[in-house]
This record gives sequence, structure tokens and C-alpha cells, in this order.
Amino acid sequence: MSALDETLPEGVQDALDAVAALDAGLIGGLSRLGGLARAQVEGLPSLFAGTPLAPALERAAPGFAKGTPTDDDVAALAAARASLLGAVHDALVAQACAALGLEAPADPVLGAPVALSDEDEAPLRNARHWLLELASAGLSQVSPDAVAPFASTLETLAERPALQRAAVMLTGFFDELAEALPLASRDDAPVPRWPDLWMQSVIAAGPRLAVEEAPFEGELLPLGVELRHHDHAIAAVVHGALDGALVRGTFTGWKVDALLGDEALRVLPAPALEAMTSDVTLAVKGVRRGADLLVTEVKAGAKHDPYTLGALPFTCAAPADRHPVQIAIPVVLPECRVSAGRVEPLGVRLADERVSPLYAAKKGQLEEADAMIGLLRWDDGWALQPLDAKIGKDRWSLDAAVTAAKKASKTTDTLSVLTERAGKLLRS
Amino acid sequence: MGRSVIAGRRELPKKRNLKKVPFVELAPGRLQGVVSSGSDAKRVYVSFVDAGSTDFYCSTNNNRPCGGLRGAPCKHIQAMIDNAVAQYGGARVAKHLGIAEAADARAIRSGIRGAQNKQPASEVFSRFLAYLRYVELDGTREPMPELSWFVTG
Repeated sequence: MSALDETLPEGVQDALDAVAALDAGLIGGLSRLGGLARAQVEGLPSLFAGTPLAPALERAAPGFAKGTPTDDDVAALAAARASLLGAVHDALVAQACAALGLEAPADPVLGAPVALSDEDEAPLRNARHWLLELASAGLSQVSPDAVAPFASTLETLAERPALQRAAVMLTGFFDELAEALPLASRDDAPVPRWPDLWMQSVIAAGPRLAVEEAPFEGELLPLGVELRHHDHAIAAVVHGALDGALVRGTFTGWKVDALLGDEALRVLPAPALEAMTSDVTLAVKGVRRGADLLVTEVKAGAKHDPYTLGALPFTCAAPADRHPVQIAIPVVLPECRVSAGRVEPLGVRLADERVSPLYAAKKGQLEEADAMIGLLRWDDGWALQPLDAKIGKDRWSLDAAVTAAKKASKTTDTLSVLTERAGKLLRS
Repeated sequence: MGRSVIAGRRELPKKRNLKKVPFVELAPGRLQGVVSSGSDAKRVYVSFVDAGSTDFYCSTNNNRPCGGLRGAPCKHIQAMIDNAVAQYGGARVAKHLGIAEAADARAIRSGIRGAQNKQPASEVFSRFLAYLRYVELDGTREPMPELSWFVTG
């Protein structure tokens, strides 16, 4: 293992500059493109000449020229932006693999497009139309009145099992716009965050290729648990090794903001709480798609020390999910030192902004770590998101919150009060 | 962190009085909520304050106006603000309402200088029912790369 280089791989800065020019258009509004943004959008067909995206971008050109793009036109723009960032993702993963001594990851095997029913297509159509309105008006110019009516579509999306990914993405984007709009100044729009959220929402609301899946059964050696959450959803991602390769199992639950601390973990679908450990091996069963496990059964096995796991190969994300934010390579550092906010021997920043408040970390505590398991991430530079750490004789992990969530009283807490209210009001 | 794609850390929420204010939301362009009646356990009030104008209103979920509204925010609106501040922190609530330099519930309450502006309660009440519905939804074991952008909510 060698320290990570902060020099950008070749071509990455050019791709990021092209994305930044598109972002200026998305922030200011596709209906009134000007300057560099107009030149970048108009140049997309030639930038992508010879690629599978070229015909769609050529079809979109007149719509952008007139300032009246359609759903399909903005979908082509989102795909072009995503493929630029996909290329950045691939270059950064190659850089990380070289430093970590890993093989370049294999691609997942893709299947046919996922087929959806007419009932599923209807709310997705609404979503695509809403996203078109946002981009036409400009993400910094949208009025709260243009956002509010979309709430009812979100409620429909969240109810439909086939649309959970779109529902989680669009709900997170909506929540953020609802709180922030109207902006006091155009410069207040978070860039590239909002263009990212818009782009990934367009992708989530569009057709998707299935990743080939097969039933699996095996012994998972867990490495640590990552939490991701917004106001209405929370996911626990259990990272680990299965048959000598890195895998992850994701459990996502819907939540509301009144659920605080470990209470939020109780909305995760079973068997999440049983799987959220790093100290025992797990006999797991379910469906496997590339590096993703859809775990339906978990049984705890023997004691296990995640700090003994060495570098392991992993499978790349599906093409539609390749974005620098998705880089999350588990790294085990049996010995480490944090100095001036950087984790040695990796030489990367400690990404404490990515530590969920549910870890209940005290400020400065992680700076004392002697050993750490984390996810190598890239967010305008390399960083390590801690999942587990040894601090002197103490262990820093999510275990306490998981134990508390398992033991929680079923009658007096927030979730029970809300469920009881829901029972009465929704059925009265 | 100029080009970061991750939202900044937020103030940690405190427990709000769930029985008093079962629902409160930083909705697009307004702060809205549902407040339990102090006298009748079966009755709830729907309250809101618009962002910018700070116009406000309070009624039962059947659109009967709140008797406490006499050109100024009633005690339900005050309870909603107090609990919104517990849930989101004073800075977020004040920023959402466009009340400059207010940081706590008292300053936000005295920053409300708008007029009584009657609006139907049904929209807010249906958001409350949707809010309750969230805790009954099943969730999923599908991969969820979409949440990679969200770490602080």
C-alpha cells in the first residue's frame, strides 16, 4: 500500500470543467442558456460524436437552441453529464487501485431493461416532467410554488416497491429544495451538489438495465457498517468479504425526522440489525447482484477480527451508478495515525463530515485512533470515511447504537407513538 | 470544501414534544405543522407561517378558524415554532422563514409581523397523514447508491 496521490489522473480536470459548464446552465436555467453554458450544451453532440449518446444529443440540440427542451432532451443532457462523471469515476478508481495494490475491478454483468407496470410508469412520468420544469427554470431560480405540488407524487413513489430507488432519490432532492428555496442569491445554490441531485434524479426516474442476479448462500466476514440518511430515509450498508471478494448488503427504511439516534435504526427492514456487526462471521442467504447482496437471512457465527482482512478485489458499480461519490473502497489499516486531519499511512483526509451523528463520536476522538477500517472516498480529493476504529483500549463503531436499537422498548418511544397515531388517523 | 457534493453538518435535533406537535415541516415556502388541542384530546389544529411575508393562519383540520387568532399568532402557532426550533434548530427555522438574525424561538416569534391569511388546512393535514404513513412503509433491501449523496439527515 502506498499513499494516495492528490494529482488528478489525466483527463479528469477536462471532464470536470465540461461538467462545470453544464452546471452553470442547470443553475441558471436551460430555457435561457448563455455564455459558456450555451457553448457547452451546444457542443455536446460533437463532444460525444461516435458514442452511443450522440444520436440522442443531436435530437436534443434544436430543443436547447430554442430554449424549450423536452423530457427526452434533458434526459440526454443528464446522461451526457453522468457519462463524463462516470469517466472521472473510472480514472479515480484506477488511481486508487494502483495505490492500494488492487486489480482493476471487474464490470458487473448487465441484463435486460427493468420492465415496469403502467401504474409504476405514471408517477415516474410526473417525476420526469417535474425535473424538466426545474432544469428549464434553473435550479437557483425555482420558486417554492413549483416544488410544493410534487409532494403527492413522492407519496405515490414511496408506496410502490419497484420504485424505491427513485422514491428515495427524489424525496431527498425535494426535501433539500423545500428547505432552501427561494434562494437569496443565485450563488447560494450548492454546486455541483444540486446539479448532481438533479442528474441522478433524472436517471432514477428513467429506464434502468438490470444487473444479473442469482441466489447465494455463504459466510460473510463483515468489515463495518456505513450509514447514509436524509430526512425521510435511512440506509445501513454492511461492507464485508464473501468468497474472497468485497461485497455489501444494503438495508433501507423510510423514516421521519422525529426519530432520533438509535430509534432511526429500528425502521430498517429485517434482518438489518442482526447483520450490523463487525465482530462475528455471518451465515447469510439471499440474492446477489454483482457486489451487492440482497440479504434475507442472517445467522451469527464465530468471533471474527475484521482488522485481519487484507486487500480484496471488488466489482465495479453498474454504469448508471458510476460517479465519484460512489467510490467507497473498504480499506483496513491495522495500524494508523491521524495527524493534522490526515490518516497515515494512506495520506488522505479523515472524512469526518461523512460520519453519521448516530455513531455518537466525540469531537477529536477519532484523531487518537491507532487502527481504522474505512471507506476510501473521493470528494474533490481523496478522503477516508471511518467505519470502525481502535482508540487505545476503546473501540469506536456503531455497535452501541445497534444494541440499543435491538433492546428498545416497544411501547413508549417515538416510533410507537407515531405508529399508534398512524393506526388511528389513517384508518378513521 | 468548495466543490464538495456532500451537504454540510447540521445542528443535532433535540426531542420535540410529539404529543403537542405531532407534525412540523419546513415545507416549500412555509413552516407548517399540526398541533394538538390543549382542551380536547380528539382535536388537532393546523398551523402555518409563510416564508418571506410571515403571513400566518391556524384552523382545525375541518377548516374552523382557531379562536385564539386575533390578528396575531395564536398559542398553536407559537407551539409549532417552539417545536420546529427543537427539531431543526433556530438558525434553520429563521432562515427558512426569512427572518434575518433570529436564532431562537422567542426572536422568531417576535419576527412574525405578517397578516392573518386564510388558507385551506387540507393540504397540511394530508402532509401529516403522509408523514405518519412513512413509518408504516416497508423499506427495501435493494442496493441504494442514491443515498451516497446523503449523510447528515
